[in-house]
Formats: sequence, C-alpha cells, structure tokens
Amino acid sequence: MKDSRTELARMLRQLDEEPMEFSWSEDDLWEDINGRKTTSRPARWYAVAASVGLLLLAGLFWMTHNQESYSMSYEVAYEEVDGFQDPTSELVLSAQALIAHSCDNQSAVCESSEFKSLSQELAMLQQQINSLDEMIKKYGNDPVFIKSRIQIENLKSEITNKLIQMVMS
Amino acid sequence: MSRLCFRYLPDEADTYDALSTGFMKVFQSLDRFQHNGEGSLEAWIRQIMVNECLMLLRKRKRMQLQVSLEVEVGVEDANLLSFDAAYVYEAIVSLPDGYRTVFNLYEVEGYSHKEIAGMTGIQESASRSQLAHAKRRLRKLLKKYLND
Repeated sequence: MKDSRTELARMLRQLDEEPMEFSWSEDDLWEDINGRKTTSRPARWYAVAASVGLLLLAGLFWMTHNQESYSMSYEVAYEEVDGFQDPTSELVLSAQALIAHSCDNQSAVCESSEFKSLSQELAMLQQQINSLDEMIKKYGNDPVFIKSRIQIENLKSEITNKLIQMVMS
Repeated sequence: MSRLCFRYLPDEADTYDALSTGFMKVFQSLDRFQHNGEGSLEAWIRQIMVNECLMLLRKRKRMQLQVSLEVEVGVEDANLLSFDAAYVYEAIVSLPDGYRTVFNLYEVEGYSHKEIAGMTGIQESASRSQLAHAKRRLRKLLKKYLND
C-alpha cells in the first residue's frame, strides 16, 4: 500500500509542475503581490512618481559619472541574471544617499508618517534582499531566489522613487 | 503551485488568493527557511501553500465533513494508479471539500491521519473515514470517465 501511495503522490506532484490555464496570468499574480507589499496607492500616481524618479536618478548618475561628456544615451535591457550584480543598485544607493542628505536639511518631510512608513518598508525590503543574498551564497542561484530578488529589487526602486519625490517636492 | 492550490480549492479566485498570500509568506519567512538538500526549498514552499489553502478553506467554512451511510470497505489504492494522472487530478478536483482535502493531505502530501487531524481540526477517525469515502468516490468517477 505504501508503494502505491508514493507512486500516486509522485504522479500528482509531477502534474502540479505543469502549467494550468486560468483567466488570470502569472504576471497578474506578481503585480498583486507587489501591490500588497506596498501600501495600496493609485497606479497612476505610482507611474508619475516612477517616471520623475527615474529622470532624477538619470540626472544624478549623469552629473556624478559623466561630467565631461556633452550627451548621454542609455538603454534598458533585461538580461539573464548572473551573480546578481544588479546594475541599478548603484543608482539606488546614490538615490538613498541623496535622500539621507536631503533629510539632514528638510526635517519636516522626513518626519511625516508616510515618509517614515516608506522608509521602514525600504529597510524591510533591504533585509529581505540581504537574507536572499546569504541564501544564494549558500545554496546557489535557485530560480525561486532569483525571481524573488528581482521582484524585491523592483519594489525597492519604486519606494526609493517615491521617497525622492517627497524630499524634492 | 497553481495546480497544487487548485487541487485544494477548485475555484480560480480562491486559488489566486491562496497563491498570492502564500508567496507573500514565502518572502516574509525566507530567513527561517533551512536548506536540507535538493528539493527542500520546493517542499517548504509546498508546505506554506498547503497551509494557506487550508486556512482559506477554514475561512470559507468549507472544511466540513461529508456524511455517508455507505459501509466502509477496504479500497485498493492500486486501482487509482491504473488511470492517467490527469484524470485522477480532474476527479480529485470534483470531490466534495472534506473528501478532497483529506485525500490530498494523506495521499499526495504524505501526512498521517494524526497530522491531518491536527491541521484540520477533525478527529483522526474522521480523517480515515473521509479518505476511504474519497477513494471510493474517486474510483466511481474514474470508471465513469473510462466509460465515457
């Protein structure tokens, strides 16, 4: 009996790995998960904040790295992640430095409950990334880790954009 | 994991809810995960998803036992193996909540009746009985598929 139980379980578990047709896509699911990790805010507002934030980040990057050049072109490309050397990390770090610097002079915004809440969320996401990095070091590039890290990094960028918006307003 | 959740919650909206909440919990408790060799991550995620499905069943008050007056007799598991896995899957999904949940937990996830009793809040004897009825119902359904 034990053998047949194991065999049946194996058959069904194998079937679990196969995709299933639903009226929603996996992308919908991830978007929903992202939405729950941050407090719910209108999508349009997020889009505006993200766009302005990206412009700011690009400007900051340009000023700090390309002071002698007269023009800058860039492209965004999604590539296979290898070792998680996220090219946007440096930008996010620069942005966080900018936020920290602004908060030294602009205490009112930085003391607001929304700012504090977002900062806490950012710190929590960073902790999750640190945990993931430790696990990747230990156990290798498991696809689940890779996907999770990318999702968390994206959220981190969104929140950073929002914080920049607040300190620059 | 979609198929796994759908095996417990044969409703698209419920499956969606269980998956999104389950993955959130996976993220939030990643630091508590202990790697015990190949496959341990998947097993851990499966466990979280199954728990999430059970919680949703309880929330929907659907973890109710099916009462049957049929006399329990031994059911040969080997009978189920003679069918294609996809048919078995479809048949499982069509079972009543109580039968389906106990069958999934015992046969697929490998929990004991004692563990199932602890997880679902039913008696150990009820878990055995639901499993026997589930298997009998499955056999009937599968024979019907075969004849159709």
